[in-house]
Amino acid sequence: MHPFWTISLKLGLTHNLIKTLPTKKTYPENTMRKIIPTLCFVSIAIASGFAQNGVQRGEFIVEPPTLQNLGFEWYIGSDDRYRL
Amino acid sequence: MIPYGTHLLDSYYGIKVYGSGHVIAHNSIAFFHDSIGVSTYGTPEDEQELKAVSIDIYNNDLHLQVDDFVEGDGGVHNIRVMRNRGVNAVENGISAQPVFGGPAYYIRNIVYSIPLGGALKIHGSVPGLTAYHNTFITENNTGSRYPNSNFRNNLFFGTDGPTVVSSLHLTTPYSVSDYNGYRPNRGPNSPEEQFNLLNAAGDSVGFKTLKSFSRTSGLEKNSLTIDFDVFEDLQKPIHALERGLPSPVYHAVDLNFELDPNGKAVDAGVLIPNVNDSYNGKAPDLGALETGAPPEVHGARRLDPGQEFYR
Repeated sequence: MHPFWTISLKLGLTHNLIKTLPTKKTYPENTMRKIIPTLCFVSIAIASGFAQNGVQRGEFIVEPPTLQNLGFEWYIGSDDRYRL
Repeated sequence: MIPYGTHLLDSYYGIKVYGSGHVIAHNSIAFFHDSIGVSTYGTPEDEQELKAVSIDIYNNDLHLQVDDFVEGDGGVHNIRVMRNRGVNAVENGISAQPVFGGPAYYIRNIVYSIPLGGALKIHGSVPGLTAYHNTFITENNTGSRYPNSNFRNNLFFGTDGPTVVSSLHLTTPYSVSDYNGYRPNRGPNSPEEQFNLLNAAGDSVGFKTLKSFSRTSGLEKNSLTIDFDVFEDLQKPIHALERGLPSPVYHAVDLNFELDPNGKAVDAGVLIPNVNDSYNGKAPDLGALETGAPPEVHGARRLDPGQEFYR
């Protein structure tokens, strides 16, 4: 058997911070009509800005070599929908 | 049955390591609880330099162990167990209980006679186990439930114990198992359904034939049902039918694991780049020994291969 390269791929998870609106304060109805579309627009804009559509590269580690083999570890992240 | 003397255990492990970059090769080891193992400390440390990674265990000759031949337990990434020969163990052949993340590579190992035990102990939902080209003459292939594994070009010989020859309890759809040879158990207490998998509800489901198992699972499409006639001259080990009763002790020098050049296991495998590129014939053979390849040296070099090293 030939010398052997082995690699360990590790999947990391992307964590998104979510801010919540204050829940105790009440708003007039006409104000809410303006706020809700604005919030939706801002949320979509923020989400689009942070969305990842490809594999995210992480740390690459070279393990101590042995007499016959090389080993590597490569941390990778998925896209935001975990499709990759 | 050949009378066999008693031997006291001098130590639990023959060889035990932790950390990274170890090579354990060409040792001849007999009469321990486990021959070779990665030490199991539990959850690995965060510091990279303290993890048990990049460890090679190859070409060792292992005889009569109380528990297992090789334990990768406690290893993390890139554990490579290759070309070892183990004859007579009570519990299991090669263990991963657990390996933390994997991959662990088990390639071209020979295991013979494990009464009422299995070829691979896979406990703790071990991911990333890769088993290629092994010859396992035990009762069954694996145990427990685990994700993301890869089994190809192996020979699994049931020896008629009260168990199934194949239990692929895979918990994710990302595993591969194909181009293997299976000899189902046919003992008086062997279950009729010899091939198990998990259904969508997580329950174990049994199948009588490899074909019906393959049809439902999508696995083992190119695998074969085989028997001991695939070897040039090798017999099924005799086992006691109940745990606790003695079984015969076998000697590697008496066993011929070469394949019959005209048998079903020759040229029945699949090409695995970087593993079996130098095969002979039309395709790689199943099992540990390729027909026509130079003989493998198991154990300490310069010993007489026709003489037992332990007596």
